[in-house]
Amino acid sequence: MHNKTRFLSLLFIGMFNISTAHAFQDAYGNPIVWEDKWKVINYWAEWCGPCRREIPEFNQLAEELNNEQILVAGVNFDNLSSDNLIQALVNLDINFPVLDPISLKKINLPQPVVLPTTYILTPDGNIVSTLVGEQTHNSIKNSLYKFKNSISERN
Amino acid sequence: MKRLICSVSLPLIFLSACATQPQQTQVNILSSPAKINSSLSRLYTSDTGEVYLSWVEENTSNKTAQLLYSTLNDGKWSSPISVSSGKNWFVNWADYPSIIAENDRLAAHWLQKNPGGKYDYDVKVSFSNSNGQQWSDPFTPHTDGISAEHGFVSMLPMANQQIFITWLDGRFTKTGHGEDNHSHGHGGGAMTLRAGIFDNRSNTVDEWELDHRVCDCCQTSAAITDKGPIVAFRDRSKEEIRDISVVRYVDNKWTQPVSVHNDNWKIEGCPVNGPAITADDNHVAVAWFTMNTDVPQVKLAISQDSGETFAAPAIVSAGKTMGRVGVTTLDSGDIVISWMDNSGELAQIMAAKYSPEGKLLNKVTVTEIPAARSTGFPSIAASGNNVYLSWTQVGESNQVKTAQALL
Repeated sequence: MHNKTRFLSLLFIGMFNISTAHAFQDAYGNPIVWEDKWKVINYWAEWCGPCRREIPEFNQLAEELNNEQILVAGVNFDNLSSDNLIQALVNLDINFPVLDPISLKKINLPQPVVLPTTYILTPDGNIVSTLVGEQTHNSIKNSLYKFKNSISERN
Repeated sequence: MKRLICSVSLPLIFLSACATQPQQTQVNILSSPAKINSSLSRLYTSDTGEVYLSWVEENTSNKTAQLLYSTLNDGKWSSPISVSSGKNWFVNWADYPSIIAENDRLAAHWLQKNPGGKYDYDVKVSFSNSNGQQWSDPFTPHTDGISAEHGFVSMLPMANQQIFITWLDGRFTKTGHGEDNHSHGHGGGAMTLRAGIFDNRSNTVDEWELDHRVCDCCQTSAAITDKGPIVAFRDRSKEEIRDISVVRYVDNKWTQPVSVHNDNWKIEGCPVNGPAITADDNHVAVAWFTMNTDVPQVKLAISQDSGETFAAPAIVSAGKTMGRVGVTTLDSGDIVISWMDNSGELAQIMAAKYSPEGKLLNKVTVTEIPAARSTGFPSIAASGNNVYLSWTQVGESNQVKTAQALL
């Protein structure tokens, strides 16, 4: 009986772990793999000029880092959802994944005070860098690799 | 002996109890004149003490935005009057239309998208000489002709039926002229602060650039002192210090921008959190949000010389505050500041009364609302010693709400 309970518990935990790996999705409903990856999370808003200007940089960055298993994702500052969010993505030519509102609640990041703001997170979800203001793909990569390499060296 | 001690002690107890008893506070919710899908409310009090509430209603089916206003009579809002409407308005949570009034003359502003760019917009201003019954064709106070961002307007009535308008002007962000811009060298100049005086036929009497480099999207605020107009705004240095500055129109000249207080808040982005200013003769008060110590704070600074100098600010709120400040002056000379604090997913609209010397007299929680972006910026105004507030109640649909606060 004890072994059966233990087996069922492990099965449940296994199912839960599998489900959380794909528990995040983008505005279009595509799954986002969140676990075990370094993450670059960019907060943007349509009405924010510097945010709009840096979007091509994030599009380029997402493409470059995709092969390195580093997630580049966006968050809409105004918490738009559904059609309104998709319309904003189309308007701004955002090609990198943008978290849907439900996924956003799960990641529990601090709401930035200033726009634009970009967080760099370890695979464990810890924020190691907060980049405030307009960025380029080089400035983000410099910050990302600085922390990624320093943590790798420590380990 | 025992009886004597009681008879002496009781009055002393009574006196001490009176001295420490806090002044009563009360919040009365007023029935709103605004419909569902309303937001962007602003309160304004005319020189005669009449309180105006303006707001925007959006019709999502035909994608039209409409600016309306109402006046307060005996604690009730009048039936709304429409100012203008359009399908091409720029409607944004932080950049709200407004109206001002002097006797039966009204002036209103809103933002209209510029066809030259998806996110470019112009300021539109219209006058009414008939107490809101008819409105003039709108005019554009900025004459650059450049498709860029123009907004965050403040207006003041002036003598001779003229009007003072100040706004954030993005002309150089497109042309690339002027001081260098936003970080990382992506072309374009900085947002500027501009102002003008216009007559009742929409002609420009005078126009100026007040500051060549300001924060991109923080609201402006303006007031009239005994010396003339004063404008408060979030400045922006080359080192990305974004503190609050004022400029004053004295002896027909604008002063150079002067910091209200050196917070030395270095940030490379816009906090979308502008200051608020109020003036009564030579008494001026400025409220603002800062996070120079990584702790969000709301501050209030007072001037007794028409804004030429300010005393060290009082910290109104620290820690869990979102800013979004408003400020007004009562007939008594006391100053009332409004702001938003937050706790998790909820926010509290707060109001506090300070003496003209900056001493805290009372504080009240006006209401609790979701801490969503769409709640926007509460507005505050006073008539006599009565305080009024408005905000957007966010829910399944948004609606403008108002209240009278007793502090």
